[in-house]
Amino acid sequence: MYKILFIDEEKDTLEDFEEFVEKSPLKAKLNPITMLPLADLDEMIEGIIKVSPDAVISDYRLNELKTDIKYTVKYNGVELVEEFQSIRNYFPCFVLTAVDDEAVNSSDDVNIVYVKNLLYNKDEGNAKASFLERVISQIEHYKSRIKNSRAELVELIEIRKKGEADILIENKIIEIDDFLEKTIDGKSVIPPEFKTLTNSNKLDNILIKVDQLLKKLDEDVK
Amino acid sequence: MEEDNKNIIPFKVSARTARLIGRENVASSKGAIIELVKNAYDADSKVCIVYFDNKFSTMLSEIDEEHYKGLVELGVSTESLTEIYSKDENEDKYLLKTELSEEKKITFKSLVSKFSALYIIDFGEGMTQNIIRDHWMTIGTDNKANDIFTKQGRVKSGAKGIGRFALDKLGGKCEMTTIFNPSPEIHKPDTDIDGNPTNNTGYNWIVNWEDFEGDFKTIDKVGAILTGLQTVSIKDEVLKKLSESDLNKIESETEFKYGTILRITELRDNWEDFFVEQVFSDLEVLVPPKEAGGFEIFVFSSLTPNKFGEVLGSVCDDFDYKLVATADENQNVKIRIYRNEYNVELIPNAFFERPAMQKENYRKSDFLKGHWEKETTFSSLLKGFKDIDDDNTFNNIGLFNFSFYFLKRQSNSIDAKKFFNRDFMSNNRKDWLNKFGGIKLVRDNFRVRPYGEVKNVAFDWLGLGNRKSTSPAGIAKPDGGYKVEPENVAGAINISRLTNVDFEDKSSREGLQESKTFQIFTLLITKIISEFEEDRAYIAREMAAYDDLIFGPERDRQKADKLKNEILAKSRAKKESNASNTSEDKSQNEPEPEPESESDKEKEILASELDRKEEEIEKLKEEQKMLRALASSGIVLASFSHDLSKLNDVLASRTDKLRDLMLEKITEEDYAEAKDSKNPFKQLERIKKQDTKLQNWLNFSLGATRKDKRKRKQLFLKAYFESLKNDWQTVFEDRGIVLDTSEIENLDMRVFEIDIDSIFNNMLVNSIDAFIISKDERERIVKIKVSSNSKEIVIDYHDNGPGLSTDITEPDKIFEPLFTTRRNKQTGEEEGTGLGMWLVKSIVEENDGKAILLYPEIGFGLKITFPIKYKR
Repeated sequence: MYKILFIDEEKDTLEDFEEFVEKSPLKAKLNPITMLPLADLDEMIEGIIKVSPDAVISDYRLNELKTDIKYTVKYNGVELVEEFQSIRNYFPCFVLTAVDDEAVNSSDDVNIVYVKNLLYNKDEGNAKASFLERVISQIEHYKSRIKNSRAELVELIEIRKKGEADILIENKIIEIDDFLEKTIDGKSVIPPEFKTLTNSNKLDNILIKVDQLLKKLDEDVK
Repeated sequence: MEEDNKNIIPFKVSARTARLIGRENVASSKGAIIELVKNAYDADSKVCIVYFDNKFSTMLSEIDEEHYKGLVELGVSTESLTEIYSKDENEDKYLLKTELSEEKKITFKSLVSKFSALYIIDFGEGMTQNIIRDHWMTIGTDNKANDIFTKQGRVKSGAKGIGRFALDKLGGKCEMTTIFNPSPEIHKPDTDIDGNPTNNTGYNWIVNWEDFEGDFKTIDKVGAILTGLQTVSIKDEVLKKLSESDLNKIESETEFKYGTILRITELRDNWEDFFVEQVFSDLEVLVPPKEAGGFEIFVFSSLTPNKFGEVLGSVCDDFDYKLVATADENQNVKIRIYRNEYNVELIPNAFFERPAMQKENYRKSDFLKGHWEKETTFSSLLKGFKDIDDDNTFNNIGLFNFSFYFLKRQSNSIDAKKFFNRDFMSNNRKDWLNKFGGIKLVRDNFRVRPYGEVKNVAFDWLGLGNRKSTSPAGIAKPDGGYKVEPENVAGAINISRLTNVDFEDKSSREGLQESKTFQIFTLLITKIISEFEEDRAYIAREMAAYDDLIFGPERDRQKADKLKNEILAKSRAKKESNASNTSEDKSQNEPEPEPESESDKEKEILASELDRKEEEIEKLKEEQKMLRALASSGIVLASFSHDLSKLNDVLASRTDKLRDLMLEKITEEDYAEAKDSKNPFKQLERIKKQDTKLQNWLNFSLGATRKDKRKRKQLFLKAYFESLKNDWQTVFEDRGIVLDTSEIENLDMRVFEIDIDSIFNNMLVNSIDAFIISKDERERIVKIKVSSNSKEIVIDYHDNGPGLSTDITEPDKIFEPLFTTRRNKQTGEEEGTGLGMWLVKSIVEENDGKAILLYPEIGFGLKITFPIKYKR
């Protein structure tokens, strides 16, 4: 069961989304959660993390209608998911909107934008994979990538411990470590440049030893 | 007493004189051949054959065995042959030696030239002994002048009875064989010198012109040998010279029973192939036009048997204009003009609607018919001449008919388009005109040389070239004056010895005597040609004027454009050179640039202004494109408004009706526990809410295009803004926007309501967009305030959104068309139409108002003022 979070500034639409999931053949796999947007972006991100969903779906124009909220929403749907993804890199996010052209134009990743009227359209046009199917597979891809990466990292570290890691393996370890780090908090990752290769440590050791040897030889001559 | 001593002493003519008459009076051998051909015509023959037996008389560069033997048989010694020919052993050929002295060549040429012979053969009535004696042998007979018609009704074409001396012109010896037609209708029975009947069917007549030479020899001492013949058919005689196949080429004559063969030997000209070719092409233009009919000329040559054949007259079918004029004995002239120059299908009907084209002969139906006619007289063609015509010249001119062709040699695509010309092959025309051009004079079916003969001084005997050079106007010149060029015309004037008695031959047989009658006649012909010129120029003028009307402004524009670019380029160049001059050492002895004249400066100003205008137009075109697209969506809406308004009526009541139906079976309490989304009553309420919204939108957009809004009428501002507020109500409510219209003075102005709609709808749409991107936490308010002073009505518009973007450095730019802040975040591409504020400003200005951007602390502000004249 995946938790999917839907954000819109109009209650009616939130209801419509719940119903949309309920009517779907995939409803057994999904648990829809809805939220009105909060006025402040950071506040909202915190709210999302609290809910801890498996995917985030947001409306684009969050500051248009004032039927259900009275405050100004200082961000739009694209800004919201981009901010969230900057923290949780590669996190499954979608924007569902009636003004898809506008959303596409302001979005870095055009593939996350979908047309809102699919909520009301019984068979979603002729798409082979329905919107919810896409949401689910995006979640699953994301999860399995994390899982596989973890397993691989454990394996590689074992190899390194045995002292059998070559330069390729060392690089791979840094790469996977970086990815996993970003899925947790993209904003506070250690840049890969600072993650040093264990091999260079060994080389350093040898150089130090040579230095010491040379020193000794010098002293002996004297 | 003196009477007894009286003696009548006859004049004697030396034989040489007689010969001179003949030889010198026929100008050229070409002319001599024509005279003999004319005799054939006068003998009522259907055909005349001119046969050059020049096979052995030409020095060829290579000869075969047969030819060699032929020469030997003719008596050429093998020594003289081997002197100039060497045998090519392999090929059975004799080749001309490459290094031969001129002397040897000339010797050989004169040796073989005596083997040539020229035959003039006809199949006419032949001559009896009496005719030979009385006419043929009598020098200067006026038989043809008195007895004008031939038996077949032809007008005799020879005149002075000296034609036979043409024979002398051609060769030293002549042999004539004639078989006469014994029918009593043609000839009186044949008798000898004493009047006794003979049983001859024809005669052989031989003369050696050299006999005429000799001191003190008088003409009566010279004679020809006449021998009676019993041959049944002239064909047998002909076949001695010509092959059967050549005769078979002649279709109009089949019997070849009677006729005359002239065999001329010891020819004075060397009839090599090249010269025969010339005669052939000369005869081609000498032959009367085909339509005259009834007489054919064939040319054969033994050297090149298949090269020549029937001499065909020229027929012109690819003309631009044709004119046919017929003059009768009462000096009336009937003129018919055929227009073939125009492709009538290409001419737009609008052209024919021009007043000038309503005239008779110029209507479309006339163009489709292709020709028109006119009857006139000599005196109206040559105005004023009749009064001074003491010699009765008009009467002396007599009957004639004149066919005239005009063919332009080439055309260019611009003119062809302008004058709606038919396509033509200009090469074909050139070839044809080079051969057959010129106006010929034809008398009784024979060309009178040299009138209209190509490359002859008399080619332009009508003086068309002179006319053209004194009036070189183009065809379409508005005040006329177009004259045709002599090199573009062809045609023939047919006259007859019978009816045009005043036209007499020069005795040289080259042309007519330049009498007054002839001069007036040529004048008359040019006047007839003028009829064509006037017709063609009239049409061309109209076509050019029409063309100017249609394409003139465009052409002026192109010209102006070119001029502008030139001026700008010049002024740029000048500036550059000035700049480089100042930077360099000034003391150099370069000439000071000429000071700019006032008009130069003015030109520059005009040119750069034009340049700027062009840019502006380009911009406006862009806008127009956009507006067109937007306008068409408005049109679609307007055209569906009827259907939509029907739907609109249903919206208000349909949910209530459904609710009533449901309440008959279920109650609201049944769903007290259910979630809203599972409660049909709640859902119905939602639908009703949405319907109301929908209705609002429909009212709004249907109202926008209402017809009465498109009329200028008195607009009461208070009421107007109330209804505007009402239209936008749902939109604003949903978005939490308050439209403040509390400070509207009760004014009215005379405007198009749709204009005011455009202003405020645009402003409100902008405000809504602004609120959505606003990050400020405050209530959304739009305020419209209307007030007035003594001069103007003032409308203040404010919203408390984020205001103009700080990115806009020149705020007034928002009024420029196509200016937009809505851009693609990634690519920077413009997204908005950029028309909203421009529309506002232009509508305001169109109503003599002003739109001024305000800079409030918070939000956006615009002040619109209209002069008070709009206040009633």
